[in-house]
Amino acid sequence: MDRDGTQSGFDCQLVREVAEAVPIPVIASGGAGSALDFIQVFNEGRADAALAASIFHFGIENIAQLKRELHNASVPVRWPC
Amino acid sequence: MLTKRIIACLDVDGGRVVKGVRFKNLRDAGDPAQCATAHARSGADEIVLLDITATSGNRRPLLDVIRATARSLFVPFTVGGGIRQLEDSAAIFDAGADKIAINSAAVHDPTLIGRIAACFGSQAVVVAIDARKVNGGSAKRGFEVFTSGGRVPTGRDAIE
Repeated sequence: MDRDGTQSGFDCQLVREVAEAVPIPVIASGGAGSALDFIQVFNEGRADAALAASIFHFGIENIAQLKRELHNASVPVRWPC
Repeated sequence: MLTKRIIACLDVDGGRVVKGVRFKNLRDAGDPAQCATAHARSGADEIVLLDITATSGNRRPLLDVIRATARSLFVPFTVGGGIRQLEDSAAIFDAGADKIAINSAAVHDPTLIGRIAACFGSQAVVVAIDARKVNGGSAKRGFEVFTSGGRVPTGRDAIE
């Protein structure tokens, strides 16, 4: 909640604690601001998925471009068709 | 190997997509169906639509908005907001959702999670948790769970 809409990055520590506490997939949400934030929450936060709103709605990050950057950073993603 | 998924989230209020900062100062961001289609076209793996005032406004989910959005989508579609009982989730699946997200109801009645999973499969249920950092509060590990669109503190620890 503290990061919602702030584009200041996901709380990777909180996401990781949740991911290590449960056996089911975890979606990180709150704070997405850049491709680097996604790379960090997948690598350091161990998230299975990452959710964002502001950056997609307001055109700050394009999903196709984001996926290209994730792929280049060796994060496995499905390419846009 | 399972790929990492990118999810675009539509917070909906009054039939429009809105977005604020820390759940406040909401700005209009467009029509839900158009917004969902645009995000799916640019490569989103999933679309989430959250009716952010259904619980606090004591409203049922907005089935017509859900139906219109589902009709335009070809990626998995998750809907949350105002789901209190099994019948609510059934109506949302009927309107075209692939998964439902529960937040306040999962805190008030955790058995709802298992009951929806028993009817529709565990892949169709997501529990959404709104957590806020607290200092010296009741949450032992520092993050307290809030319900009702971030309005109501529960005293529960997010990790536990």
